[in-house]
Amino acid sequence: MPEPVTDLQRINASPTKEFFISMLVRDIPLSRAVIDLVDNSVDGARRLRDSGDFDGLWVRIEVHPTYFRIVDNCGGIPVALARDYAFRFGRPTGAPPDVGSIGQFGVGMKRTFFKLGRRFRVQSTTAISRFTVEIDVDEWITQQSAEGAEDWHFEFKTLEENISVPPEQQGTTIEIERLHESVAESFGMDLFLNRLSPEIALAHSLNLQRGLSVTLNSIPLEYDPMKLLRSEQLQPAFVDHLFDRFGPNPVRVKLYAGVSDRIKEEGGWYVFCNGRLVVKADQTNLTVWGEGERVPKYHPDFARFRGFAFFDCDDSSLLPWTTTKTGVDIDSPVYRAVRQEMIELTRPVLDFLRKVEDERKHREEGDITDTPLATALFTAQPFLVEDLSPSLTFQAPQPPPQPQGPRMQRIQYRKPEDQVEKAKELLGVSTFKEVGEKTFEYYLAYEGGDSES
Amino acid sequence: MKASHRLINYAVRPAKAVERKIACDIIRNLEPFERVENYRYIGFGSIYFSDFQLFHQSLGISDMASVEKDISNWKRFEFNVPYGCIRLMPGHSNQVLPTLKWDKRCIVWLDYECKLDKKVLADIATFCSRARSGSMLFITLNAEPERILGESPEHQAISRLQVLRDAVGEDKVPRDVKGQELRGDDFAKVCRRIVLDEVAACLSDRSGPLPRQEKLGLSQIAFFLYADDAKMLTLAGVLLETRERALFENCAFSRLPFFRDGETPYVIKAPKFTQKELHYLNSVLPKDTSRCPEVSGIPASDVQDYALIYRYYPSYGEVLLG
Repeated sequence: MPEPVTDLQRINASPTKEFFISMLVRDIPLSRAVIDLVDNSVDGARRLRDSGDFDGLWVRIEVHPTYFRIVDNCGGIPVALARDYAFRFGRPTGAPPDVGSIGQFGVGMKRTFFKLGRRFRVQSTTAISRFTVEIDVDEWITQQSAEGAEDWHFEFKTLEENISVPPEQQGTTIEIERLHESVAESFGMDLFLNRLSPEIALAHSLNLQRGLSVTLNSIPLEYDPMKLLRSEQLQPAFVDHLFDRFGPNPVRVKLYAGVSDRIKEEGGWYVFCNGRLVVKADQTNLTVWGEGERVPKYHPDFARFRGFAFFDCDDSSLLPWTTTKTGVDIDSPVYRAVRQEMIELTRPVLDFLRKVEDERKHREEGDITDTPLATALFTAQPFLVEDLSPSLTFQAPQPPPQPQGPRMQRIQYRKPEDQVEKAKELLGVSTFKEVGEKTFEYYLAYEGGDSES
Repeated sequence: MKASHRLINYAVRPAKAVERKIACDIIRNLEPFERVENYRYIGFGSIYFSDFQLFHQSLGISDMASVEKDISNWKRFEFNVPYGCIRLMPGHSNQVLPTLKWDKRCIVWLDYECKLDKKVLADIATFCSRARSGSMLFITLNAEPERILGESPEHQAISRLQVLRDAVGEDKVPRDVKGQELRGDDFAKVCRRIVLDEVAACLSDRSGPLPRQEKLGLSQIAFFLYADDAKMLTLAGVLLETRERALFENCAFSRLPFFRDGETPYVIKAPKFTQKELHYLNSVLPKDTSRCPEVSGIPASDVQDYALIYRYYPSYGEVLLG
């Protein structure tokens, strides 16, 4: 029989509120924390519109040195969701999957509250309910149950259920006040806003493309839709997969690889989970780069390369993202398998880009006059990735075969200018290139015997 | 460096010729998966296309692709294509293999002249990431241990280990491998191990999200060593989903005399005989090899070796054509 557990045998492993308030917030940059709240709104939009058409839905973000506010008309948070899950720290097992949601880990929203300030207010209205939660963090820390244990509960300040609310009043407003000093400082700087704006736009470019309107301090976010160059000769790779061994919710994966504008910083792989960008223009081994001889390390010659990986699943816990949504979980079985495929799709694009570069060099050196590969690039048109049709591999034109002839080698050396000028004069030529060629030919003619054969 | 096809006529290397015919017999056993003629063959045909000719003639395979990296002599390769069903794919195998569709079962022979290196591992990874269950992989590599002239055995061992690490990458060499093992046939065994490790890593990635029945493995069926000139190794295996295990068993590869699923190689020896000797030996074979015919002056071991492979032994002669 097991011995009864005495107090002396017990080890305290319970979490502390302080851990959530002060420690967890260090894992995420301020801008990403703000985006976590946009995710929250997008989850509302997804609940509201299965079709993924977000036309007419909006999110308004206000960032000020004294307060932060985010308001949306994306359908609100259902009371049951708020009561049992939305405010819990971590998602309990057995929680019903929030279909195709971005919020998964049960950390994002709370982490952002604590990251930003000491007081927050959530007011949310659905078609049939309305609630308000208002929390002063300092009071919540000291909150204890009747037995003197830490009390982790929040309470609804107001709660109305079984009501009927017209659509224009449905949505969520989150306000955070008593901002931390460093947060207030950042929120007062144009530089922070200038960076936050494209970061949100990029993270949610797919949702913006679907019609969602997002403003930051009243200015609409602009986004660049994801495009790849296509023509009859140039065909991006597009493959899709369905992984369905994880139960009722399959993971759908779409991969695109091709070429786009030549921008060094934007070359690389982009990874999306349920429409949310989690990895931007990756140029490291996290995706495909520097994988032995299969894919070389990223290089400016590959600045035209773009790869897009979209992972979608109704049960978002099956997706390969990290809790901060700023990276992929490289140990995820789905990601490991898909990464192999990404490597395979990347290589042919890089081989093409290398040939384009070789062609450019040959043209500069006067070896060739035609540049069919560059022409193929410049005559191709940008296409939205979702309009592309499946193509198992990247298709591109081949360079024409090089004229048959001996393999050539380049010789380079430096000599004092006056000597070179003298040689030029003696040889009766006008360029340094000719000096090199003529002196070489002269040497071989006298010393090379039958080397001409 | 001269292209290898200018140094060697592949057709007249006896051990290689024997290996090719043995490979043909192995491939024939794939029938339980599907008609062998429906497979696609991917190889390095060079200008001789010996494997392509054999597999088209003997197996009826007509979906064939030859990867050719020597683009500067393209016209010559095109000229030598023996059958209209062979597609020439220009470029290094590292470049070409990822562009293939891999939409049907295939037999891939990565018939390198070189030693194991990162490029070889890259091709193996591509096969493992893309090929379908029931596909067969052959990998031929130079397995001649490095020889650094004038070095003491101790330094030789250190150098060999370093050369191997440089060639395949530090992380690919098993940590228990010592430089002393990289000599003789043991070097081939280490190469085999590195290849199979790479296969296992790729297939583990690929299989991760798949249901148990669809998880993939590579079942080794052959491990040859032979030497027409340099010591060469060939490793062969079938890529297999768990649910197709029964089909694999039906192939009965293990009944083939040269079947090897472990690290002990089957050494192909093609002893040299005169035509007269060959005719005589053939006339008394097959026989219990322990009671091989005695021929005066021919080493008994040569006769024993021949008895194992006489059906595959190439016959050469001078013929006036046309």
